[in-house]
Amino acid sequence: MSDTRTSNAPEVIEVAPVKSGDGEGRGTKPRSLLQDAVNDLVRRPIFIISAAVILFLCFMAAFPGVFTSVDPRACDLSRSLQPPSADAWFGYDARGCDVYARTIYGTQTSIVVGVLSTLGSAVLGGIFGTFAGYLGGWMDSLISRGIDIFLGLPFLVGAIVILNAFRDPETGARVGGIWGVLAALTILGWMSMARIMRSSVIQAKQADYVTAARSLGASTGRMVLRHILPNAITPLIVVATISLGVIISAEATLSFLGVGVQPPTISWGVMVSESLSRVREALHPLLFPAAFVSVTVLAFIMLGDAVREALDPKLR
Amino acid sequence: MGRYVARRLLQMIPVFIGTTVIIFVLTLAIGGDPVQNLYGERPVPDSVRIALTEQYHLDEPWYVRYWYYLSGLVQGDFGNSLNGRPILDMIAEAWPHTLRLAFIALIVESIIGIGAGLMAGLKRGSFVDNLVLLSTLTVISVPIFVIGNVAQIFIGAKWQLLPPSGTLEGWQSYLMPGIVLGSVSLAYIARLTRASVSENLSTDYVRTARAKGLPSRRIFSVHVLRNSLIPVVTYLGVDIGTLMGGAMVTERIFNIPGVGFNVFKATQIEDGPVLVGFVSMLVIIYLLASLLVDLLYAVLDPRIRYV
Repeated sequence: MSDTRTSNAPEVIEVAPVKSGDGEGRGTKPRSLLQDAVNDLVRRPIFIISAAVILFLCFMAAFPGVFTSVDPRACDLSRSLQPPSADAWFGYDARGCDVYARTIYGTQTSIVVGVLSTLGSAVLGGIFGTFAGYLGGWMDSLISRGIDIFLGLPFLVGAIVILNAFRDPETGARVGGIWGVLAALTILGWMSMARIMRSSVIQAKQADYVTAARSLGASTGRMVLRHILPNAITPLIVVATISLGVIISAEATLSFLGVGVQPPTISWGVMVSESLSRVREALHPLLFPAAFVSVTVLAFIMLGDAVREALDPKLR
Repeated sequence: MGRYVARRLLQMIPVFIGTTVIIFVLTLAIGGDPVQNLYGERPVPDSVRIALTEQYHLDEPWYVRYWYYLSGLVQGDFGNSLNGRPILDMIAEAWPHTLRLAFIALIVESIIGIGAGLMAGLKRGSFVDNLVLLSTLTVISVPIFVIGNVAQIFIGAKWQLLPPSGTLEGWQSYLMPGIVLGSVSLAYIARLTRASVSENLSTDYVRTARAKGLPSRRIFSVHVLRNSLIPVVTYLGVDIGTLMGGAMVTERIFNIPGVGFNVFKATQIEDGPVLVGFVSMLVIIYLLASLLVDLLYAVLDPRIRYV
């Protein structure tokens, strides 16, 4: 801990000149905690493997056409439930759609919902947590009670009720799309992040360099952005990475229950749910999407574990 | 202690109101016109509409309706479902199923989870440790609907070891859903126990106890085990709340008419009052469970005292 403190103290004084001399003194500057962590991470096999899997999945989500030339929505009932073959690696489902193509295209839904809603929760939780921790007083009690209230909502029930409330104002029909799922998962996901951010901001607020900055006349905004946030954000990053896996699993669960992403959007949860009615005749339409969900969640959880071990000074 | 409990109970009131208001307002949006729903496609007679609007305060703003709901709730009246059944009866009917499931899940996850975590934590880096780490990671990453369906297909339908669904065969029919329900928490508990045992093994007080020459059995049971169980008990307490409401997926897969099943059905048929009633119940349980966890802290950790 002591070296980060000494490296921060001079920074407070030389802040203004450093900004103009863009990047010249970079090489001689002592490494920050984050750079340390990155250096540490790239040497861990678990991190490399999970990051490779995730990059691969992201690539699949962005360019599904590279992996398959089959149209995932081109279904032919005559091929219903055909087992895996050279033509269709994962076989065909009950409606005769290519399971492989559908699984590939389903990646997009999971990755987009997982990443965006984790990002949304982190931003929302980060802002609320910083306000509560930095301002304290009635603002803190207000936000903390708000956190309690949202934590009291059972997760799945809350998500279903929120998704049910998204309605087309004219027809009154449910608007089941990626955006609804995203909103529901964000609304129910920010609380733990806000709690963590709050306690870590309270901790950073009491550090000597913050007192030093204040006595030098730094404005509130500057203190929060330059001194408190960079030193308090690590736990938030850790929790956000770990919760990515949980969120992806939750999206699949909601789609499985039929309240999440709706067809024609392709999603692994919907695929599993659709395969269940004919599961005694053919297992492959269930197993392949289920395996993809599991591997994706596993990769994100392992990535989160690796990031936590690299960033948490206690575990070093 | 008494004052602490009283203060906590008072603090629960705004949280309870806040949570139920959210659910209440959100469910008002669903279902369209409740009077028209009663009549289906047929036109509603004006006299009926006026009477029902009067009786259920349908033309009042949401906060007035919420106030009527809350004052009924305080007197133990959860209201009626859209087909006129008292919601309290529905809760009383659903509860035993969910309790049985949660009981099995809790037993399984605490015995196997803590046991596996202890074995792994006491011998870090051993074969058992790696086995526990790997298997728990697998269970955590496979979503529960996949575990449930695969278990149902193989254990229930193909090999016919346990009843695949329904509740007709007594305790046996709750066994598989209970284990599936507890499986994810089991994995978390095993990992939590492992981490906290290996952390406690390297503390100063364990080293001191060893240096004093205490038998290792006593070091383990008094110094390591008791301290390691604190985070585990917290997790178990939080899990009780989750098990009561989070059984939605499991109960749906295995067709068990418990709380989660009813909540899900209520969202499907857009029965707002039932939804609000069950969720109010779940919120109360969640709040009481978290109070229980905090009280258990003091029992397990002598440094914590509540005044």
